[in-house]
This record gives sequence, structure tokens and C-alpha cells, in this order.
Amino acid sequence: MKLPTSIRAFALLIFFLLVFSPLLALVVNLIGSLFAGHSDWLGLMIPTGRRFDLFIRSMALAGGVAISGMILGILGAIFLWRWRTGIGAYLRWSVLLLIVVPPYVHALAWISAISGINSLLNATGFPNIPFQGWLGSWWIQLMALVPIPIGLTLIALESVAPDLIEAARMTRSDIHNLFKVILPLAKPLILAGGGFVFLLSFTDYSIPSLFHLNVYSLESFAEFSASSEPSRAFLSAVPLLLITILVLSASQGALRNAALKPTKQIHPRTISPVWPAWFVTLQGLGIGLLIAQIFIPLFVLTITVGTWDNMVGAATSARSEILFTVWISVITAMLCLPMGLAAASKLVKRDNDTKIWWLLVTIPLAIPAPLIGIGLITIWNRPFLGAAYGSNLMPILASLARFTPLAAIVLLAQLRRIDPLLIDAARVFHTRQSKTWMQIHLPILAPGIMAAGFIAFALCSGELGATLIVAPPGQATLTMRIYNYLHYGASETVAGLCLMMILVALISGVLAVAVVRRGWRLFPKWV
Amino acid sequence: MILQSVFKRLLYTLIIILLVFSSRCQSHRPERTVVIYASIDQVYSEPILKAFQEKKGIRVRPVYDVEASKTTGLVNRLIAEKDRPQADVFWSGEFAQTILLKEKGILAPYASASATDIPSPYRDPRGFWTGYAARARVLIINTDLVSPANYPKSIYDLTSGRWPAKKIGIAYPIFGTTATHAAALYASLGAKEGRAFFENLRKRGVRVADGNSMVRDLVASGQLVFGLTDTDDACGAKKRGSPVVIIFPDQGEKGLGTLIIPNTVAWVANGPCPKEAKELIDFLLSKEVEKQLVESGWCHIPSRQLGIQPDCLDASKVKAMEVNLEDVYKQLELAKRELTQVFIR
Amino acid sequence: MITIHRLTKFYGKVKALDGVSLELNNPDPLVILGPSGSGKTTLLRLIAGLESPDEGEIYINGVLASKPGWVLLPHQRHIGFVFQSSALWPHMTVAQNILFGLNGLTKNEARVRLQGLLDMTHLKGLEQRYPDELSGGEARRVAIARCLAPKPKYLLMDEPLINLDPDLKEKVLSLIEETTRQTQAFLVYVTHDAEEATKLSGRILNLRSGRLVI
Repeated sequence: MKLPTSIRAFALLIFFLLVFSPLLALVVNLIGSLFAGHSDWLGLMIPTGRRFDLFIRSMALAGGVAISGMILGILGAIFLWRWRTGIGAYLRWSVLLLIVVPPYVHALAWISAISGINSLLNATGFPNIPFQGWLGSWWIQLMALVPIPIGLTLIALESVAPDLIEAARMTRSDIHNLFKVILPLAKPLILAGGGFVFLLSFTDYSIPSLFHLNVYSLESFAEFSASSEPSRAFLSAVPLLLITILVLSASQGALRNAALKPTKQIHPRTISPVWPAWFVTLQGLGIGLLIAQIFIPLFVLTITVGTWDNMVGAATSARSEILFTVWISVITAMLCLPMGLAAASKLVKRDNDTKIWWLLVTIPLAIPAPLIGIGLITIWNRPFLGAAYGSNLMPILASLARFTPLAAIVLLAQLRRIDPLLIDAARVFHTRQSKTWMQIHLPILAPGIMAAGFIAFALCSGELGATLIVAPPGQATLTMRIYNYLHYGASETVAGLCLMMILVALISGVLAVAVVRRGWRLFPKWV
Repeated sequence: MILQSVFKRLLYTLIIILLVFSSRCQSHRPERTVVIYASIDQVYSEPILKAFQEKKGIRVRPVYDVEASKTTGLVNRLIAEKDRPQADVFWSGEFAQTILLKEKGILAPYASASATDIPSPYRDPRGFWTGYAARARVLIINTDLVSPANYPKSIYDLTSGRWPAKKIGIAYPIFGTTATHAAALYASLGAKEGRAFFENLRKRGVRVADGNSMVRDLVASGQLVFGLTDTDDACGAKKRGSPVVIIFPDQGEKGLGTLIIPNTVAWVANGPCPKEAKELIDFLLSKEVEKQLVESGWCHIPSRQLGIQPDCLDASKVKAMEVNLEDVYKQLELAKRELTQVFIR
Repeated sequence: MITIHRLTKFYGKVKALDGVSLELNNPDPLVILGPSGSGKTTLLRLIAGLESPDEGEIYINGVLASKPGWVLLPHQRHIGFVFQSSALWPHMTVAQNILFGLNGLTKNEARVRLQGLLDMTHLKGLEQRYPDELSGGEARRVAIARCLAPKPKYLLMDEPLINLDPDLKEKVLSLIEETTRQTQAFLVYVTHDAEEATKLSGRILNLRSGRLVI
């Protein structure tokens, strides 16, 4: 599926400029530093000794979070897959809501919950749950990030053609078909979900440091703090970059480019799968964990808020931050889609250029957020761009630089599932380009667009590192306000603000699902 | 050619958005504005800035830092903006990063009339920054877990072995005021002994928390017996009714003294609104504002006589660590590098 | 023998099948002929166990296989099914597609079975290809081979000649007849094409608006 050539070229150019330019600015800065006599800094690129240990530890943690995230994602998504009609069709996406809550807040909610459980255990003579170090870090990152693999797996399952499943059901049991037919066909998006989780875990230091587990990204950050030299921080982030490229490439590796037929008419009355007892038990465990993932933070946040007045007070005190956050997140989500689609159309090909595009798309994902901000300042803080620099545009650019590549990869997974015959038919019969786009291309792409847009919205609303560097004076995002209150200890306000973020996510999620399900029937005259 | 009119419209829309974003900040700006980068907790600084705005009719556009950025946020923003600063004033909760900015040529000297009664140790000799409204590095102790007779009294109690190491906490001495404290120890004791102190902490297995507020919360909840934190964090716990007591460490005759960390205010060189910047600096450094900072609980050690007693602590007789602020700054990078190797492993 | 007793199926308010009763025990193929929307595919899917009836029962060899709210699972019915779209798994080779339904055979036995099927369906040499590397006719033959692999007692074919050119239709149709004869499986064949229906020497039943027309 292609955008019109001129538009695609334009979108790719913008993608390149917006996503890559902060990185290029950092590279130019680095070259300048090296020529200024700091060639010894190059040693930072190779983690050795203590830094190597940190690096391996980060990989192990991220790998553990990614694998468990994928498993939990599969268990949860398979369960939710059957909820296709009525209110269930909306409710099942509610598992994604808590992605907007900062991981730090997940951590505090779980620490509080585990503390309560440990009190009970103590009282009954049982040993405590040792919620520190590896266990605490792994658990919180898993709980904070698991909505991503669940959402992507659910989309993947929805895209598997039902007749392929039914053909398998004719001869083998449902559990056999799950492992031999359904999951292999859903693999691209499942692996993409795992890849994203790996990446987000690998570059996160805030949660591991909360649980006293030192990781490589903290080292990288400490380097920046000690030297205030972006070039040094960039060099120490190079190993992160290489791993990111490897992981994302592997997650989209040699898979058959299946022309599957996604369909909305998915035989709602087909027989439910019959799973063996062990799988039902495993699923039950998975669902239990997912319920806990949603209800424990919600419960702790609600208890902490205490009263409706506190909630209203929190919302009122942060009114401008809420509006600002929603505004920039929506704009970011909208703007990243055409660029992401253009980049995805480059990734879906299988020619020599594709490898270069993979590099271009994955490299920005590994750059620490503050460095993206520094890069943006370098580019935009110019006399002729003065009006834009210092405006609301800057945090949007920061989020676009960080999250458009993610949107591209989600859209890539959707592009790979499109039946080319559907597009060929559109090409044969089309009259106006806009009509073909509105009535054929967009509805086919809708699940991917919604997923990419929602992920971009959620991640943008929680983004801190780069936004802090470029937020216009006098404006702040909700996440900045939350972290300020966290530090101050105003837990009721923090809880109220987090509940507010969840509500915003709920509304936008319902809207997104409604558009995908009802399609363009919502806008008959427009179509 | 049937041009893709929808996409053309999209392009035009993008251009319009750019213009809107650009024009927005022009059309709604009142005549006088001032931009301040503030790493004081927003809860404390925001009311003061609003008061200035109301009093002077100058719109204040603040950018606040967050602890989660571990002080790399605003300082690095200022450095990156050096050639075309956006900020007019920098207001920090400590001094080391302010001196760093001075060394990088980010600041300009300004002798505020409001600061004439601030003692010289709190002021840069060449006028690039002024300190006041200090906090201190204190021990916060859970009174349910320790009797008064056994209260720790020195930072060396962190390594003494009297308490289980897992029940004692500090924040990472690589970021924030804990890093400043580490640099002060390096300056006071010498780099070798300073490093040895922290290596000892690490070897003992003292808990390293993700910030001073985390240390506060762990002590307040009883997960730690005591820890090292800032006065504002410690007083926050006390204000909320947590069972804690706050002690200025090393007050004995031969004691090292307590590290006092003043807030600092500085004028950003080549900022867009110099006149307004000076008015804001004068306002921030005024006695009234310092009084407000004490009364709000942000600071507990005023730089001059204010005629008030802070709620939480009596710091009138505190013995300060005898260390020059510039010397502390000079040790900062070394301390951070060495302690990164000690603690991040 | 397959016994269908007063089978009714609704899709929302639409009654796709209306009280269909049938006994399938004649060794000759059964052709169900009807226009689009007559319920042919629905009937086949109910026999296969892919959906449950709203009313009525299905018995297979005297054993209850379907009733409202319950079905004996498809893979337990020993039925082969050729779908309209072939439904070949795109991530598996021809060989893997064909052998998917086999269980409990040794490698050698599977290999022998595979070769036999490839010979029968004239697919020799294509076993390592993927579905997207096959022509329409080849894909349809793979679907037939896959259907035959587990030696089912009943073969259900849902418009297997759809979208094939006349020459290919002839070849595939004669393949179907030949393989049905060889395997002695009972064939239920669904089509909307009357000419196609008459070419198969078997019993023809007409289905109109969900009802059998005699």
C-alpha cells in the first residue's frame, strides 16, 4: 500500500528531518568534541569492566520483562479475543488504559500493596515477599508495560483469517492449532510488542533505581550528570543503540510476508476454542495478573485520593497541565501517523534500501530522552526559528522524534497483513484518490492506525526526559506536575492526577475502538 | 493530474499549525514578561512567582525542574541554550550547579540591592550569583524505632555498625544535593578520605534510595531506621505527622559541622528581558521572600535575621560545615565520577 | 452415516437454515445445489462442527455430534473440508500443509503418505513451495490433498472449483472424483453451478432459502 508518490516523499522527508535531526545535531556536536581533542571519549562506546556488568544486567532484566510480557500478552489477548460483540468489544481494550500512568506511580501503588500483603504475612507467620532488586524491578516494569504486548497481540489475533483457523480445527485440537497456526501467523506483532517492551525496559533507569538495581541506562545518565557533556552521554548510549537495532531487527526478521485477509465479519457464533486444563489454568493465572495490574494501581490510587473533593481539587490545580498534555499528545498522535506510514511503506519492502531504513527507524529509539531534547535545542534555537522555539511546538517535536519510529513499526505490522488484492481492486476501480483513501485504504489500515496513534498518545502524555528540556516557559505537562508533587509528597494530588490521566485514556480509547469497529459508518456523508 | 487534494490540504494545515504555534506565543504575551528556570520545588516557588506577577504586572513564565531528571534537566537546557538564552533568571535549590553555569559563561553578574545584607559566604565574589534561604543536610530518624538516647548524631553513624546497614539509607551521591554533600566531604576531608567514606557505606550495604524524598518516605514508614536527606524533605514528613525527628549532624566541638546548602539566584547572560530579570531577582532575594520561603517550609536557615522561627527546626545555632562553596564545586565532577564507579555496579 | 434432523440456524434475524433433515449414507457423492445465500455453506459448516445449530441435531455414525449449544469438535469428527478460499497456511510449505492433520505416524509413514497424496493430486515437485508460490489450481489441489491426508470418512467441499478457469475446473473435478473413488470417502459437495453438479455422478439436492426443495 503506497501513499501517492509526492506525498510519500514529503512525509519521508519530514520523518527524516523530525526524527533524525536531533540525532544528527548530537553527532555534529560529537565530531566537534572529538576534533577538539577529546578522542579519548570514544572509549565510552565500549562497556568494559563494571559497565559491562551493568550492560549484561540491563539486557537480562529487559529480556525477562520482554519475554514475560509476551507470554502474559498472549494469555490475556487469547482470552480477550472472544469478546467481540457488545460491551465486551470495548471493555477488552481497557487493559491498555494504564499505559498512560507513569511507571513510577505503578511502582508506588505496588509497593504499597505488597507492604500490606507483607504485614498480613508477618501477622500469620509467613515470610515476606522480597519486593526489591530484580523481583521488584522486573515486576513493576512488567506491570507498567504489559498493555503494549496485550494490545498488539490482540490486534494480531484479530488479523488472522478465520478460515485458516477453521481449516486447522478440522484436523487438530485447538491447543495444537494455537501453537502451530495462530501464533505463528500472529508472530510479527507479538514480537514487535516484545521488542518494544525490551527497548522501554532497557532504556529505563527510574524503576530499577527505585528497587536498588543498578542498570546501564543509569550509568549513562550519571555520565551526563557528571559531565554535562551531551557527546559523552551519547557515546555511552551507543551500546544501547546497537542492542536496540538488533532486537528490533530480530523481532521483524525472516517471516513470510503473508497476504492475510483481515475481516470484520469474524463469524461471531463460531465455536469457542476448547483448551486443555493446563492451558485454562495458565490463562486463569494470566488473567488474574492482568486484573491485578489494573485494579491494584486503581485501588491504591482511589484510596489515596480519598475523597471526591481531593480529586476535583487535583484536577482543578492542574487544569492547564491537563489541557496542555491532551493537546500536545493528540497533535503528536495525529502527526506521527502519516510519517509513520511513509516510513513503514519503506520497511515493508524487501530490497537493499530496507536495511538502511531499518537503521534510520530504530536508531532514534535508543537515544536517551534528554539528549533528544538537547539536539532539538541545537537545531531550533536559531534567530529565524525563534518564534517556533519556545512555543508549544517544541514538546510535540520532542515526542515526534521519540515515538514516530514506534508508530512506524506498528504500522509496518499492519501493512504486512494487508491483502494486496484489496488494494489492487481499489486501484482498478478508483475514481478520486481521496475517495479511495477514505473508503478503502484508511479502513483497512484502521486497526494499525488506531494502535499506533494510541501508543503515540499514551507515550507522549507520559514523556518526561525530552519534554523537560524543551517545554515552553509557562507550560508544563501533567507528568511534570505529577513528578513535582511526588517529590513533594502530595500523594493525594498525585493519585488524583493519575486517575485523571486514566480517564482521558479511557475516553480516547473508547473513541478509537468505536472508529475502528463502526468504521466510516460514523461519518457517512464524509465518506 | 488529479492532485491529491486532501493531502495538499494536509500540507497547508501543517503550515498553518506552525504559524499558529508561532503566532500564539506572540499574540497572547503581555507587554512585559520574564522567564525563570527554577529548580526549587514548584509547590514552594509557584506562589512566590505568582505574587511577583501580581505585584509588578510582569508575567512570569517558569520552567520547573523535576527530581526524576536528576538535575540534568534545567542545567543542561541552559548550557544548550547558551548562544540564544531563553531564560532570564535561574533560581536553584543549591549552589554547585549554579557555579557550574557561571564557569560555563551562562551567567552575568548582577549586584542586587536586595542582597546587600546577605553575608559574603553566600555570595559569589564577582556577583554572578547570590545565595540565601538555605537548607541543610540532616539526619532523619524514625522515633518508633530508635530511642532518644540512641539517636545518631553524625554522618559517621552511617558507617559505625551500630545499626543494620539495610536499615540506613542515603540517596545516590551522584545526583542532586547528595552529590553536593559528597563533593563537600571531598573538599573538607580530602578526595581520598571522602571516597573512602562512601566506599565504606557501599561495602556495608547501606541502602541507596532513588532520591532524598524516597529516603524520607522509607524512614517515615519505618522501613529505614534513619537516613540522610534535606531539611525540606525531612520537615515535610514531620508536618504530615510521621514519627520522625530531625538532627543536624556533627554538631560536636570536633564535629565536621552540617553542610548548609543555600538557594541561589542568578541572572542569565543575554537573556531576552534583562530589565524584568533584575526586578525579579530583586524580588526573590528580598527579605520578604526569604521569610516566605522559611514560613512555607522550603528552607530553615535564613541568611539574615528575619525575626521568625521556622516551624520545624531551630537552626539558629547550627554549626555549619566549614567549607568554601567554590571548593565544593571544584570537587563535584571528581566526586560524581568516582562515586558512579562505587555505587553503580 | 450422517443424520441431520430438523436443523435450523439463525444469523441474527436471518434464518439461514430452516428445519433441514437429511440422511447421508448413500455411497455416491451428495451434491447440494443452490444459489448464493441459500444456506449451502452454513449446512456444510454445521456438519463440520464449525458452528452449532439453533435447533435440531446432527448424528455421525449414530453418535450425537451437534445440538443447540454443543458440538463434537471438528477434529473429532474425522471429516475433511476443502474451503472456498483453499485456506492454505501461508507460513507452511505444501508438504507441511498436507501433513498438518496427521498424528501418530512415524516419519517414514508420513513421508510415504505424503508421496502418495502428491502423486494422487499431481503435485510432485512442489512440496517445498509456499502457498504464495503456487498457482490457483495448484493451491486448490494442495487443499484437496490436505483434506485427504488423515483419511477422513467424509469429505466436505465448499465450492472447490470457484475462481478456476474451465480447463482447470475439469481437471480438478476429475481429481475429486478419482480421489473420492480411491479413498472411498463419502463426499458432500456444495455448488451453485448446476452444470458442475450434474458432472458429479451423485445425488443432487436443491437448497433454497435455507430449505431443501424436492
